[in-house]
Amino acid sequence: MTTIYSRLENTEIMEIDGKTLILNQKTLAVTKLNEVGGWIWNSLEDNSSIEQLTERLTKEYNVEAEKASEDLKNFLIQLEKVGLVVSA
Amino acid sequence: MEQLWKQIGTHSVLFRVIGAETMSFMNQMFGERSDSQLRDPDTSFTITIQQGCLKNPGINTTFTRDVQGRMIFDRPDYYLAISPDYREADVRFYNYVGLRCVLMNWYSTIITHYDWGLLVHSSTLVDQGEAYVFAGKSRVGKTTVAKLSHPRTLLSDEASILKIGQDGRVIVYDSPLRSNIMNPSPIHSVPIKAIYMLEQSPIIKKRRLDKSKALLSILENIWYWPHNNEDSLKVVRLCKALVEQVPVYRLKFQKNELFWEEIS
Repeated sequence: MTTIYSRLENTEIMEIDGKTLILNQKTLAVTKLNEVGGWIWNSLEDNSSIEQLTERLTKEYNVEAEKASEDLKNFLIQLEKVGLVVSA
Repeated sequence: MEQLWKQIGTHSVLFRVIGAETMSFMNQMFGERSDSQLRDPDTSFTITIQQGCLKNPGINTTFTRDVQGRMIFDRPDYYLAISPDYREADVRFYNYVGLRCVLMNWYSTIITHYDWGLLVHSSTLVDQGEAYVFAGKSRVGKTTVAKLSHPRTLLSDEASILKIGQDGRVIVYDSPLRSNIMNPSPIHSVPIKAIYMLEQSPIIKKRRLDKSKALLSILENIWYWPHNNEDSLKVVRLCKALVEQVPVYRLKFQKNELFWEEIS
């Protein structure tokens, strides 16, 4: 069964100097993402699977699918740990 | 009960002071500062204040709301109740530290609620008509910087009052919320030059932080007691507005006055 990732709704997003800062309105924690992290965050707007995200990421950044998929998994695990993403 | 008008930032505060001991602590904090002549209802507040929180000092603050909807901040050495419209407050405190902290709690709650500005954990010195803010946690060197900077005017040694205007201008105000150096400043307000995040070191060197790092560093040095999400968001937005306008540096410094050569 495919895992779908979706973003926490109660967040405030700030773009500053090419970095994305996400404020979790429940915990008031701020998470900083680099350019690629910010791009992935925006791509999660329509609730995506790893496969869908990998396809978009390889097109956008011209990286190998296997490497992109592995990095995406690790990134989403971290976002899930800090409560910014939920998987179902 | 005696009544005193005091100016903090651009705000006029009517203190209703109960008891001679309380008045003595108020004089210690505000000294001979002039009473406010500007009593605009939009920027006026009333605080009823008395010494009467006879507990041991401590730092854990709890937040609740009472049946009247007042915001209650309770700490072992102070009690603060703010009315739902933010205009009136009841204060009790144990000693000078309790008084300073409870007024910091009150003022930070007010200025963030009205999107006026921030209370920053820092000391501020004036050099050639501009304010230099030195931020950092306890014992990093804020008071040392203040003492080493004589004869420059000191605006704060613990809690700097920064007004972040809608036009982007950032003004630093003389702060009565002082920890060690009590002499009131002859200067009421000064435009800001820069913010320095202090780090003690054998060398003297400044390095500009990019805006995202600056924002995170500033957030760690804001005096703010969370009580609702809407106002907490305002804190973050005010920090963003601040770092968009003001350069923020990491400053490695020795315990001598030579760091002024690096920054001015």
